Amino acid sequence: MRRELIGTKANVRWHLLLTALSASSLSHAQQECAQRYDDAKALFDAGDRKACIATITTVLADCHKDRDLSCRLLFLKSLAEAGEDSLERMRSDLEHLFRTDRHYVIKAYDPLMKGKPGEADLYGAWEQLHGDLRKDLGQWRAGAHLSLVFPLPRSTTDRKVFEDDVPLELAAKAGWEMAAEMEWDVVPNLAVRLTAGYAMIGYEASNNAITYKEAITQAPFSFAMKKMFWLKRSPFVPFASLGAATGWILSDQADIVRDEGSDTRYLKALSVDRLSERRQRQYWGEGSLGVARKTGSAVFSLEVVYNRSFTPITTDDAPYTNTELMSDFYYVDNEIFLDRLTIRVSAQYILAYHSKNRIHP
Amino acid sequence: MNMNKVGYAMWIGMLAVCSCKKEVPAPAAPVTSYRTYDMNIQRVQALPQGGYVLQGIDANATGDFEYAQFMNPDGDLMQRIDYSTLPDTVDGNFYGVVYITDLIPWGNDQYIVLGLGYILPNGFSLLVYQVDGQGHQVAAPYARFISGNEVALNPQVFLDPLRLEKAFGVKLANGDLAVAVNWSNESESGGYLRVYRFPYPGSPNTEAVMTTPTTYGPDELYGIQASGASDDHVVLVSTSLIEQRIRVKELGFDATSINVVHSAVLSPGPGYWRPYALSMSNGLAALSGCKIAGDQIRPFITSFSTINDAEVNGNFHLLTSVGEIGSPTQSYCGTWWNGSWAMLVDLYPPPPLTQAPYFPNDTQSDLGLILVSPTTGAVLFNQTLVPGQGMRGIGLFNDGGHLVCIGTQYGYENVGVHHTFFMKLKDPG
Repeated sequence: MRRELIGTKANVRWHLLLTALSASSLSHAQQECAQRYDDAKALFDAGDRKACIATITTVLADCHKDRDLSCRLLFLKSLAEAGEDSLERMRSDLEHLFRTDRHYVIKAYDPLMKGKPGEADLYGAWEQLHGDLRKDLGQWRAGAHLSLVFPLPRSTTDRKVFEDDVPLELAAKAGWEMAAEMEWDVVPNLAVRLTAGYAMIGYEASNNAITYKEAITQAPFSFAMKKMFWLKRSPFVPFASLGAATGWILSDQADIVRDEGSDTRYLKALSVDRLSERRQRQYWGEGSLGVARKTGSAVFSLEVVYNRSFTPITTDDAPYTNTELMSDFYYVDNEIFLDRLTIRVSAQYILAYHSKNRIHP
Repeated sequence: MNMNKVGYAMWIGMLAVCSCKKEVPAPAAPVTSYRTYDMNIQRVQALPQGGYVLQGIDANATGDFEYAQFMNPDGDLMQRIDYSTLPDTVDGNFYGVVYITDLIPWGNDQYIVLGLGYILPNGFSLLVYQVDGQGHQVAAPYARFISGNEVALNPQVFLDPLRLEKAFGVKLANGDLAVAVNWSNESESGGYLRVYRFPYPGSPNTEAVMTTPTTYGPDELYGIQASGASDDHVVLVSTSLIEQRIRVKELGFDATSINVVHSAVLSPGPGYWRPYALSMSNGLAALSGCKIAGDQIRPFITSFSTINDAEVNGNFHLLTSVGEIGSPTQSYCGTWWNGSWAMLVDLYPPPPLTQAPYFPNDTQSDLGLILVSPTTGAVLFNQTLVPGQGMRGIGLFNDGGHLVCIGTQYGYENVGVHHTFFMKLKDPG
């Protein structure tokens, strides 16, 4: 026991020592960067903007861990470049400044900038940059969507039970879906999208005698590749996606009414839980078209999604799993696939931007 | 916002949903096809060319057969012969009451329709119609006068909605027609069972008749069919309600006469014995049905390779283990299935229950399938097909190695609605 305590204390000491060393190292690097900034600032104040730019260029890579200092260096460099009339480089460094600290604000009355050559170019370019960044939806986004779902029931069989019945026709009313979603740009404008949601949909099968309605709740999960397109001037970003989805049927409630007129049977409407008669794991293919628009750090999009179901909701045994439906209501399931057309509105927050420049590479 | 936390939150959400309790799949009825029709049938036969012919009765009429409905092997309805279109004047005599009791496939889409006709007040004849699949006459009908006494009409006896007097026929191997008919006269205590042999046109045989008097009213006739033992032999099955026995006879036909080749009387004990199904396979005949004795209703089976008292009685088994103790269980049909005898059974809730097999409030019985050893009576397989829906199996067929069940459904509280069902079964066992 004593040896273990000694060992533990030794570990703690080592840990403290390493922490102190790394803190000391960091502090040393920060001091070095601060010194370089002061050197560059002195050169800038002395009017030697080229030397200032050269000094900053040599230290910038080493100072990236100190975001605040990096921003100060980039701002000074941009200002120097504006003074040298190197406007393209200035724009590039301004975008680099934005990507280093998305919340950085250049104020028109900044004393460092005020009255210096290139002041107007710098400030104008900064404002222009923010206009151009409206179509940059960032690298990592997360949010939620709300969808209006139009189920498109599709049947591959035409089973009917009672000889005098006409074939069943399928229809559906709109359902809804809400989901959390997350997108990660693998490369600029090509994102991986993951969604996890909750949906309520249904369909109806009816003929001259039967009205059968089934209400289904699902937990769908989807994976898609999303390609975004930048238009030249437009702040709107159209996109298309292609992916696959899976999901679980969480509940399945059916209501059936059979009306054969007054001269035959008198059946009460029946409500029945059909979850155990359903193929609970579902798979779909998914494709979509949409358009997005950024406001501040939020991205809003409107999207039309088509889901093609690969699995029927009915099991292989489904037609004959419910003998009450079969022998009383003369209803057996057909093999039903629930395709979907979805109108989706989503809101996402940009969690991170690409670190490399996209507007002025 | 910590981006890792967002990712973890989404994964946890996904896992939570994925780990939801899975529902146990519902057991499916062992059915591969199910159809229903707005018909009430009482008898169904398989056709040699494939498919079936169903004898329909109207729920509110006398119980007489009104039509023959043809059905293909998939349960699609085909043509129908409306018996009301058959002529009621035969051989120059007008029959005020005609009812049909059997339809015999004759080949080439031709059929023999057997009926019984009354010339009021007291004439009674066997009527033989020859029609095609649409009910059109292909040859003139003919009649055989059976009784000049006042025939006792026995409509709607309590065990059967059909009249007690029936005529059944079979096509013999050489193309002759054999017909059995039963009747009784009001002035007599006994009854009669008569067998005809009608030679086909060009047959070297002559028309022959064999009449057997019965002691206590007419024997109830269940069927006549080729014996399988010999091309020109038939097996005749009947019961005596009073004596509570089943009679099985093998009849032979020579050029001029009809002879009893073998005969047996099955005396299994008190009760009304209803031998609904008889079929031969590999030299063995199985005969099954049900016993009705008060509320003690149970299926039975016997088998025999030759018809004699010892074998018919020795292989008799009352299937008391099918269904719950005290619950009536009926069986109206059976067929061979891989060496065993398959029977459809109707299992009813415990008594009280009417003895009538067409009890109008029959709404809650289970329809089941059993496989029975025809020799030992051992129940090899027992399965509920459709529970609690009042479905009555009337015909069970082995259609190319798969079982097909046709019956009538009484699954509704209101009386008077009887729908026919067709059901292909998954292979049992």
